Parts: sequence; C-alpha cells; structure tokens
Amino acid sequence: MSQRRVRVRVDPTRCTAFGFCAEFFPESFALDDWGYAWLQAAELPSDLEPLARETARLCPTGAIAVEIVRAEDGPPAAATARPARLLRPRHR
Amino acid sequence: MAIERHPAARVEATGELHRLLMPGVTRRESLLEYRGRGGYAPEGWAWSPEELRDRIAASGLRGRGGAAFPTGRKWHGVAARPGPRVVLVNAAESEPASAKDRILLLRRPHLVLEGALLAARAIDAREIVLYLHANATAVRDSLDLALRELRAARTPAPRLRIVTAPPGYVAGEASAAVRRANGGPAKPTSKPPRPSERGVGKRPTLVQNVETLANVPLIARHGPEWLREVGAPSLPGTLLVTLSGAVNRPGVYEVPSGMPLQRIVDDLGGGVVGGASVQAMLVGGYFAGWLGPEALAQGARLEPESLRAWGVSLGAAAIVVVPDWICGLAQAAWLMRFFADESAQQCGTCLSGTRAMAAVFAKLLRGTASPAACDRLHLWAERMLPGRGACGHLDGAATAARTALQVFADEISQHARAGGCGRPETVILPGFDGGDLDVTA
Ligand SMILES: Cc1cc2nc3c(=O)[nH]c(=O)nc-3n(C[C@H](O)[C@H](O)[C@H](O)COP(=O)(O)O)c2cc1C
Ligand code: SF4
Repeated sequence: MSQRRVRVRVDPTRCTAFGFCAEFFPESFALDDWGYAWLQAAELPSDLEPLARETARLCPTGAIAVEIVRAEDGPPAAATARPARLLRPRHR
Repeated sequence: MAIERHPAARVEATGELHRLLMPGVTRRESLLEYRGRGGYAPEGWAWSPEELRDRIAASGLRGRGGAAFPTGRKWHGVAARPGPRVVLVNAAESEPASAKDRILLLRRPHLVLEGALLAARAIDAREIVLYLHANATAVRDSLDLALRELRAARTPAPRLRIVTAPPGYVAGEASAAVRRANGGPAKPTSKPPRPSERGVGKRPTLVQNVETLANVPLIARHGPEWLREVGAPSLPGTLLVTLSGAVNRPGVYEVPSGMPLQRIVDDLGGGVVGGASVQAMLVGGYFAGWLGPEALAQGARLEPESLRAWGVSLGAAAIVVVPDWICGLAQAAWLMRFFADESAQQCGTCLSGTRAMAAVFAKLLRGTASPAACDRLHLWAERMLPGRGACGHLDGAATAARTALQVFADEISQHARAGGCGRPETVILPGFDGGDLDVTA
C-alpha cells in the first residue's frame, strides 16, 4: 500500500526571513541564525497537509511549496544534506 | 621560493596515456588535423540517437564539471522530455584553480565540438549553446575559428550560438548558464525546474562540461569498453588535472582516474617547491574541500569514492598544494572570503552564512575568535548551511569551512594561543589579488 506524505519545500531565493512558518508550523520549520526558514522535516504524515498548506499561504513571499507524494516515490528528501564525515573538532 | 600563481603554465600528457590532450598538439588543432586523427570517423556516427545514449551510459562516463553525475543517465532523462531540446556546452570554467577546459578548447576545439554535435544527435537537439566567460577571449577566438571551419566544410549541425557571461564564480552553475542564455543575469535559479526540465527557451536542456563532451566522440568511435580500459571503476577514463600551488611543475595533466594523490604531487608535480612538505591541499577546486597530508600518506586517490572517505569530493580535479612554510589557516580564511564575495546574493542564507563564516575565519586567523563563535561556526558548516542554497555555492562554502576546521585544527589552536604561527600569510590560491581580509558579517 502506498502511503500519502506531505512534502514541503522552501525556495531560498524567495525567503526574506519573515519567520511566520516557524511560528505556525514548528513540526517542519525552524529559523536559522539569520531568521531564514530552515526546514527540519521535509516530509511529514499527510494529516499535517492542511497545516502545511495554511503555512504556505501565510508566507508573505510565497517561498513555501507543498505537494503530496507517495512513500514509494522514493526516499524522503533529506531536509539538509549531511556531510560525509563529521569529525569532532580537535582544537577545543 | 617562487610559486606560480597561474595554473597551466605547462601542459603535459603524462607519458603514460593521452586520450584528450595529445603531446603532439600544442597549438589549436584544425578541422583537417582533427579529421586526420580520427575526428568525425563514420564509426562514431553510425549509431541511432538511442544507441548513442546507451553507449554513453554503458561507458560509465560521469560529468567532469564538478558533480560527477552519470552522463548517460542525464542524456536519457533529457531525451525522455518532449522536444525540441537544447545542448548547452558549459565552457565557463569559473573555478579559479582549474584551467583544463580552457586548454582543451584552445588546443582541441573540434574534439569538444564533435562531442556537442553527437550529444545533440543523441537527444535530438535543435540548438547548441556554447557558454563561456566574456573575458575568455582566446577561447572565444579558438571556438570562432573552429565554427568557421565547420561551416566551410558544410558539416551538418543544429543552430550554434555563443553566449558569454560576465566573470563570476556562480556564472558557471548550470541554471545560471541557462538563465544567461535566456537573456537574464548569469545567476542561478531555484530548482525545480531543473535545466533538464525547462532550460534554454523553456526547452529541456542538456548542460554538459567541456571535458565531459571531449570524451564523447572517442566513446562513440571506440565503444563503451574503451573508456573503462583506464581509470577507477567508480569513474572510468582519464581526468584532466590542473595542478597548482607549491609544486615544481604546475600544469594541466591527463591522468587515469584513481591515481594516488601522492604520485600526482611527486611524479607529475615534481614534488613540493624547495623540498618542503605538503601542509594541505585542495583536490577538487574551491568548493570540494580541504585535504590534510595524512590523506596523501594513507593513499587517497583521485576518484570519488576514495575522496568521499576523506570528506571531500573530486570536483573539477583542480589541485592546489599548500606547503608547510606558509600559513595554511590564511589560505582557508581567504577561501572563505572568496565564497562570501562570490555569493550571487539571491538567497538570504547564502549571503548571511558565507559572510558570517568568513568573519569567524578572519578572527581564527588572528586568534581572536571566541569559543562561542567557534561553536557557531561548526554548527553552520556542519548542519545549518548544507543544502540550503538555490545552487551549490553555499554547499561549497560549508564544505570549505567544515574541512578547514578539521585540516587546520592544530593551526587554529596555535593562532588562538599565540595570535599567529609566524609563517608568511601569502595567499597562494589562484585568482586572489590580496587586499584586506576583514569581513563584516
Ligand atoms: C557555483 C557553481 C559553479 C559551477 N561552475 C561550473 C563551471 O564553471 N563549469 C562547469 O562545467 N560546471 C560548473 N558547475 C557545475 C554545473 O552546475 C553542472 O553541474 C555541469 O556543468 C554539468 O556538466 P557535467 O555533467 O558534464 O559535469 C558549477 C556548479 C556550481 C554549484
Ligand atoms: S546559493 Fe548563493 S550563489 Fe547560489 S543562488 Fe543562492 S545566493 Fe546565489
């Protein structure tokens, strides 16, 4: 059985750091150190679709896109690409 | 000790093999000469578009522009979209440490052009755009002459046009090239849509690096296995390496992929200037990350898998060697400044993030960074910034910072203790004119 998921995307060229998204939809959004939308979870259970759509509507610059995907459409898109190797800093 | 700041002072085939760069070709190869060396041989043109795509896919060819994306898969992807389609030859070579595309276009423009024509055939493209920087006048002349020769020989070809962009690092990014070809600024666009979906003239567009295309006629002629005869299985074929920094023989070299980096420095580069040791190196160009000397000693090789284990990538195979007698942290700090200066300033996070990282690196250099600022820098480089830009520029900056924090960890401690390391802070990275490192975040 295919599972419906809601996928959220931010257009980084449009985001101007209003910050409404993190307020309305903290399940998906945090703000980075400069106030821009920082996606924490790009794919969520589909019952969050209404909230996701409402958040997209509230973004003054229209930077948020929401789509429905099926779980079998591929692996969930990582919110942030992880570097290949995280070494502990040696200098502290 | 003198270090040549301009790569490609010397161009040499390694003596072991020459596939793209030939030792005999030291000036621009004419169409006649190219045909004498097998150019436009009927064997290469005997294939249907689909067979051509399959041949390229079977060869395992991967892009030489920085991302090492499988070329055959890209061709099949673009061909699957409704036509008409476009081929964009990415000859921008924005990477300051790279000179290989320029060398190829100056010496063997017809090899690249035949590759572009075959690509156009494979995806049924009606137009080919040759994209380069406006200040690359010698490359432009070489291409103009080559195009004139093709026309005079009545070579059947789709519409060919040259598009130029003002200088700038991000201008070489695929969507920036497309935007420029569409009459806009040479700045990246957010994806989707990708150029393969909606590119030049809103048409599906195949963006391909010059060196990638140079491999195409040879694969078409000699077959997919031919490419796999040399190099690492993860990236078959040869690589054009631009070697610069503190080596005795900087230059552009053709090597089998997978060559140990130590051999590249010692055998090709003739060792480090003045017999010094390697302090660090950039392997893939500015966006692909710093590598420490232990990687060389432990046999790191010039291919994606080996380099990934060290947290860096192959990039454009542009290698800059930093010797132990200059300040390595200064190189790292200037590189961060480069990323801040070269941001297209379209994404708030890229503009702010690259500046903030550069500012902390400038303080690390002077030994004045607070522990809190160091913590923040780690967070930015490792978690907050990767994947956040519309293009890979911000990822490149994050990679440069993350790897510099590892590779120059001891230098950072020393600078924190003593305010410096006593070594000259001369910048040996190509393309830097010096000036003031101060950045306001
Ligand atoms: C900031 C940035 C700059 C780039 N500059 C170049 C360039 O100058 N030349 C190039 O071929 N690719 C460049 N690329 C990579 C292109 O986006 C694209 O992946 C490449 O041209 C595809 O060709 P390939 O598959 O043959 O490598 C750049 C990428 C980024 C993120
Ligand atoms: S990530 Fe940086 S360089 Fe790339 S489009 Fe955004 S602002 Fe421009």
